[in-house]
Amino acid sequence: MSTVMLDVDQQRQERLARLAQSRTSASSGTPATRSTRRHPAKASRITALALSVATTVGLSYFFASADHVAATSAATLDPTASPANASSGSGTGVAAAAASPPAAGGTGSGSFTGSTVSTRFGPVQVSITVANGQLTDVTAVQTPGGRSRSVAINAAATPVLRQEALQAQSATIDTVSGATYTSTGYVQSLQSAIDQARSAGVITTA
Amino acid sequence: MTSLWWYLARSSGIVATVLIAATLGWGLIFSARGTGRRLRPAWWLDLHNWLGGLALAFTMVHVVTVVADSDLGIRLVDVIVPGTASYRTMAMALGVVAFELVALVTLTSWRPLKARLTLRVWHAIHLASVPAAVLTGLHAYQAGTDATRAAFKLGLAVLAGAAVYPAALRVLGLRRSRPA
Repeated sequence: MSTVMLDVDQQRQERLARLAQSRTSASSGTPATRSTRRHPAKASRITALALSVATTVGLSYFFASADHVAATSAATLDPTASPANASSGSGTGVAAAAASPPAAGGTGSGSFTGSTVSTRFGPVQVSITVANGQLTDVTAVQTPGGRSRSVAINAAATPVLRQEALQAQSATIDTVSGATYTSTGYVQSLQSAIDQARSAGVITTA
Repeated sequence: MTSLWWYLARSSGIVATVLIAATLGWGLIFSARGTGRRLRPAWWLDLHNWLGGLALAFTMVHVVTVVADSDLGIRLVDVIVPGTASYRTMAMALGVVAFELVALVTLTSWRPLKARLTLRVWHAIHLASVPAAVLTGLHAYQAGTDATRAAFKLGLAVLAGAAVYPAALRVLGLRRSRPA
C-alpha cells in the first residue's frame, strides 16, 4: 500500500514539474517547443491558402473557357489548316473572330484600327484602310515580337494574311500553317476593324 | 495539355503577384507598429510569415508551369540565370531576379536558417523584399500575357497603390523615431 502511494506521489510530482516548466517557459518568453507552438493566425492561414488555391483554379478555368468560347464561335478558321508547327504553338489558346458576311458596297473611305488581341506570344493588332467601301490595305500594327522565332514567323505570315484579307474583302480567311496564334489574333483584330468601318457606314454588307 | 500549363502559368503568376504584394504590405504595417488595437501583433506576424511562404510556393508553381509549357520554349536555365531566355529576355530577367529575391527573403526567415544569422544581417536581407515586389510588378507588366487587358493593368495599379500606404507608414515611422 505504501509502495502504491509512493508511485502515485511520484507521478504527481512529475506532472507538477512538467506543468511548472511549461508555465515558466511561457512567462519568460523562451521559444515554445514545436509541440506547444501556437499559430495565432491559424484560421486566417487556412483562409489565405484556400483563397489562393481557389483563385488559381478559378482563373485557369476562366482563361480556358474564354479561349474555348472564342474558338468554337469562330467560323473563319479553316478546319483543315495544320496546327502542327511548334514554333508558334498550336491548340485553342487564341480567340478567333466570329464569321461575318463579306464587306461589300458602300462608298466611304477611312482608316480603322482593330482591337488588340492577346495571344500566347504577344499582342496582335491590325488596322485597315477603306476606299470607296473596299478594303485597300491591311497593316499589322502589333505582332508578337518577344522572341526572334516569333518575329520570323510573323514576318512570313502577315503578308500572306494581308493578301488573303484583301482578296476576300473580309475577315473570312484561312490561317497560315505554323502561325496559328498570329493568324487567329489577326483575324479577330481584322474583324474588329471591319466592324468599326461598318458601324461608321464606310462598309455596308451586301 | 500545353494549353493547361499556359493557363496555370498565368493564373499562378497573378496569384503569386498578389501574395507578394500582400506579404510586403503586411510586413510593412507590422514593422511600423500600425497593427492597431483590435488584432494582436502575434496574429499579424504569423500571417505575414504564412503569406510569405504562400507567395514563394505559388511563385514556384508559376516557374514550374512556365518551364513545363513546351510551346514557350523556356528552359530550366532560363529561370535560374537572368538574361539567358530568348523569349522576352528583359522581362524574363526581371522575373528571375524577383523570384530569387523572394526565395532568399523567405528562406532566410525560416526559423532554422534565421537562427544562424545575426539580426542585422537578417534585416538587411529582408529589405530585399521591397525591390523583389517592384521587380515582380514590372515582370508581370512586361511579360504577362494578360498585360494588355484593362482589368490586369487596373489590378496592378491597385496593388501598387495598396503597397505604397504601408510603405509610407513605415518610412514616416522611421522619421519620427530618429532623434532630432
